[in-house]
Amino acid sequence: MGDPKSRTSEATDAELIAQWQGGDQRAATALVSRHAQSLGRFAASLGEREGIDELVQDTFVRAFQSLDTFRADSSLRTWLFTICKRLVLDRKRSERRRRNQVELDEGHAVVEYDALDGMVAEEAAGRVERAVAKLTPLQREVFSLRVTEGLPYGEIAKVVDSTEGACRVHYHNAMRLIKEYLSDD
Amino acid sequence: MTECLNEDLRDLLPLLAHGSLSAADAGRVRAHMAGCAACAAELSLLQSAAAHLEASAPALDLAAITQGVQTALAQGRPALRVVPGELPAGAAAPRGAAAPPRRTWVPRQYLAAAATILVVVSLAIPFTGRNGEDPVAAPTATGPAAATDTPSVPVAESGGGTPGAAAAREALVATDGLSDLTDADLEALLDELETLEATVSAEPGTMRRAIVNTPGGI
Repeated sequence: MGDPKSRTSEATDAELIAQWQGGDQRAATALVSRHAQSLGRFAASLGEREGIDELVQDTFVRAFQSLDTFRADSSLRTWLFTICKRLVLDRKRSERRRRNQVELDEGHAVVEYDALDGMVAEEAAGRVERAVAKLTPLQREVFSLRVTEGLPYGEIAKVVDSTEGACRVHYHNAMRLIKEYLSDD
Repeated sequence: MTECLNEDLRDLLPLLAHGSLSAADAGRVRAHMAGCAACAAELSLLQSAAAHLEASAPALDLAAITQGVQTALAQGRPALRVVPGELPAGAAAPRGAAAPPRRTWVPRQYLAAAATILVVVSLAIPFTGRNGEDPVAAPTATGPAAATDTPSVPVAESGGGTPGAAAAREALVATDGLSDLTDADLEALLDELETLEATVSAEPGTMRRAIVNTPGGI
């Protein structure tokens, strides 16, 4: 019988879920540690800049509270992304109502990253950052899930509520736009 | 910047940058890149983009998040257990959790009216069945007062229920309505009505659902 801590760190998500449902608190901690950073990156890719800790925490709370509805037809991480995205959209809706601002339309170019432009000292990194900032929210979301999370298109499609083929197109369009921006810059 | 026409291989570049490609596929892509400057440049760009996206994500306080999750779930745990009707005293429903089914208490006068309707209908059904037609207009009772208009239909044979309720039904028919029932008779009718409620009404799905994550946990 090995060290319980090591067993937890090596267990699959499904095994950790089963352990948590059996009363093992360390399993939940392991799941949080395993996926929190990805959720934080994903939230940032959606344009969130504040309260990401709270957002990630709420995502896990929602997930644990409804684990009995998790059908495992996608990975746990993909499921967490979908929950996180819903929370982000709820938050955006609330902010929009509060500030009565124009909705951030997925079909429009995004300027949310503009404030970051001057913060990047490294010119090469700054150029890439500006290029990514020019993507539409959907393109950036797909691009981020593909590049930073390494998700297959099928899983990305579940997160963004689209089709695998459409996600492939979004990714390649994003890549083309980034290259065009860099070549024009 | 020119693009490689091998889209299948290009599709694998972000996974190579992420490090999630299998060893076999990684070797295949690297072999391709040895002769494809476009893919090599694209991989470099993807690595820069990934680094930027990761750097732009804020640092998270994992300990605080974990503690927050544990606290929220600990507070919400009672609501996740089998809840036939209500939360234990002092237990707050967690945010986002399905609201537990609530039992609504109906004022006694409404129950009395419902009992009247139930009795009238139960008396009318066997009467209709024996004659093959409906000799009595469908009762349109809307309240206790409607009971006083109940026609003098034959007393139905006891169709089940408690003896007290059967006696109450007979008393109800023999008299002018609910107002002439004794308290005991009315209680018996109400008890029967509650029994019928419990057996007939469709339970919400959330009440049937067995919540599995009961012991320990966070």
